[in-house]
Amino acid sequence: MDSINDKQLIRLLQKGDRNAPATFVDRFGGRVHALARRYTRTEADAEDLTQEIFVDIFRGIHKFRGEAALSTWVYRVALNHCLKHRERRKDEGLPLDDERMHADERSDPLRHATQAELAGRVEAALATLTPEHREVVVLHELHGLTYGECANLLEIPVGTVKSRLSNAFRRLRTRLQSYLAETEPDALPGRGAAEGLTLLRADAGGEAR
Amino acid sequence: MNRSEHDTLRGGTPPSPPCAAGERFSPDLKAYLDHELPPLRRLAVARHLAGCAACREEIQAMSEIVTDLRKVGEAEETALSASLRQRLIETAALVPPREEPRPALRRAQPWLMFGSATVAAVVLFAVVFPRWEEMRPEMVRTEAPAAEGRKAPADEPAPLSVIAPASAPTAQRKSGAAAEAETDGAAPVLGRVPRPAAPAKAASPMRAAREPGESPRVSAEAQQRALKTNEVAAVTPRAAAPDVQALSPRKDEFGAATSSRAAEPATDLSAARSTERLMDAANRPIESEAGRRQEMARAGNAPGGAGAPGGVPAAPAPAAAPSGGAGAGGGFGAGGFGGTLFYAAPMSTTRLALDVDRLDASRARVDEIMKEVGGLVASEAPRGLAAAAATDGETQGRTSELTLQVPADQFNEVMDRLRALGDVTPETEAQFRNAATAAVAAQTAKSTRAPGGSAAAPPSEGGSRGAAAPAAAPARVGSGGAGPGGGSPPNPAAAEKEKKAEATPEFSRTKAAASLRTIWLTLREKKPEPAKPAEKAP
Repeated sequence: MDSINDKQLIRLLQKGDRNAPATFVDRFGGRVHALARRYTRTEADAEDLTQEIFVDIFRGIHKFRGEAALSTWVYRVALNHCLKHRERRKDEGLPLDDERMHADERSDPLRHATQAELAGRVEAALATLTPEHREVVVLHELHGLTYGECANLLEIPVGTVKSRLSNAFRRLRTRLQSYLAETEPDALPGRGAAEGLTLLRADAGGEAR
Repeated sequence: MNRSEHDTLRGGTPPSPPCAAGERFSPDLKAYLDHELPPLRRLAVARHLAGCAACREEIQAMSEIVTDLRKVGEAEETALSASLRQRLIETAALVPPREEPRPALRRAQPWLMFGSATVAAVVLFAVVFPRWEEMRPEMVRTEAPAAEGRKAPADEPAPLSVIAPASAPTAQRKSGAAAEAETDGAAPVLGRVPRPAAPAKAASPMRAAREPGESPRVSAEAQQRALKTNEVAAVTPRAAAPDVQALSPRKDEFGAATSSRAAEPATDLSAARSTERLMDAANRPIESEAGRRQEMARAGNAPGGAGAPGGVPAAPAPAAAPSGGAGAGGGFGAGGFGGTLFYAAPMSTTRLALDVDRLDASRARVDEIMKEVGGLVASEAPRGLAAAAATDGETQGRTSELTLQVPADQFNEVMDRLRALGDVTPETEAQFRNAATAAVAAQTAKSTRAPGGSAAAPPSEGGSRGAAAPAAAPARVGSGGAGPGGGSPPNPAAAEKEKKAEATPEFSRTKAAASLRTIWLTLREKKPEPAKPAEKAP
């Protein structure tokens, strides 16, 4: 069942196959839940939102004709719900930029301290972005969507995706650097990327030859 | 991102001077990193990066942030808790499956198609018919006396079926006839015998049709007849002129006139016109290579002008000996577009595609190799939903596309080690050999020509690209993209040029790039099907 492709899965879901929902949930549940968590403050909220999204997905799957990739469609449904959720919270008067859950709550899947620290640092930097910029960064970097997929999903031109990402990264860079300036640097041994960088700096980029 | 890397950026090395090009490139750096730029822009950015330390630094910092974000993303996307999973699965049961009725549009489609076909036919008729009269002025002109001589053409038994095939054999095909007729008139534009353009020009089609008085009636009658016989589009103009064939002996008269007009000094440099001239110049028997080059440069408008530094100095050198197809082509390539770096850019990259057993393991191994040789994974292709979907699909395994930058002196070793990771796909095998030849040649040139530095001019490695034979690659080393013919090393003029080129600051700037080589590596996971490995095993 796990080995079937998206098209077959859609067909099974549309026919009402008993095992298809489980396969579908296993395939997309993690990604949708991860997205939902970004727009909610507590794990309980995130689970409710995820369920809301899946109700809509299962309801709408019969209308899905495969014009777009299944994953793009799933993301669209999910993102619509997430944005609606954000609107609801705005109406309730909750601060928008506090979407991120507390780092300790978010980072429980990160077992290692270094990873937890990394996550905390990255989350803090992401929190400084505007919602639009953060959206693009999350979809492109964390969820691996291409520019075209982001544009399609957010209904904005690809050029806008490009410029938002560019601006967001400039901001992230300043933010992360100032973070590093505040903390004590560890001494890390060896060559590797740092030396590669020196190499890059000394020579011109190879591709331009 | 590693802290140490940031420290390197912050304080470990002196900060690079700010980017001179400023805002022109920095908005594109992220997209460059993500492989999301169109090819030309990508080359432009790559070229800029070669000379701008500040932007390279920025791109490096970005790639570190990307690494961090992806790590967080991977950690975030964990399996669902059992309870939530169960909840979601049960959700499906709450929503009863219902069959959507088929959209009504489906059933309406045949009608839609019929309707659009009708519209298309009407439009075609409207477009072609007036143009037809314009296109065959001599025919319109002759039809009046012909009609008069016969008194009443309408009374004739109307030999439509005879006339139409005589002028255009396919005219009887109803739908195709219109298009056929149009090309029939337009095709000879490429011209055979130039004929005096004057008569055709003088007879303006509209005037010719109206002045003789009777002709409008004639053509109206002809139209009626045509409609009766359902030969709608193409037959009409021909029908009224049974003697056209006799009166205008050459079917392509109008075409010839057009071509003679085209031969007039072109005041507008339309793209088509200049292409025509370009082809013309290319096809003409070679009188002097130099003249031909100039002609070509003139024909290929703006870029050609920019290419003058490449093309014009080439003129005196090979005046006597046309150096063969490859040489001339190379010369034009460099001269016509002027940018030696620009053209050279994609050539120095080597593509390598491998079928690997386990993608993750191989990907990790690439990292190790890069670490050992002091290279870098400069960027990784966007993962994308499509790529993720492919893992679920039946046709394709997962792939990973990497851009590696390795020190040139380690290039061969790296390539060997990378090849060991999997099976080199046959299509990249040949290219790999060429690239290796070029690299070896570059190294030899480096060691023989300049003891201290890296003198091998990077553009010279263009030999690794498709058309150039591997044997030509060593010969090109050092001659540089700026070389005129590209393929004639013993030419003293070329050698001189090379020296000059080396002296120019722009050229020496690119020398620094010679110590890095780029590899575009594609790792493709093999499908664990039993059939395929069995095939591949022997």
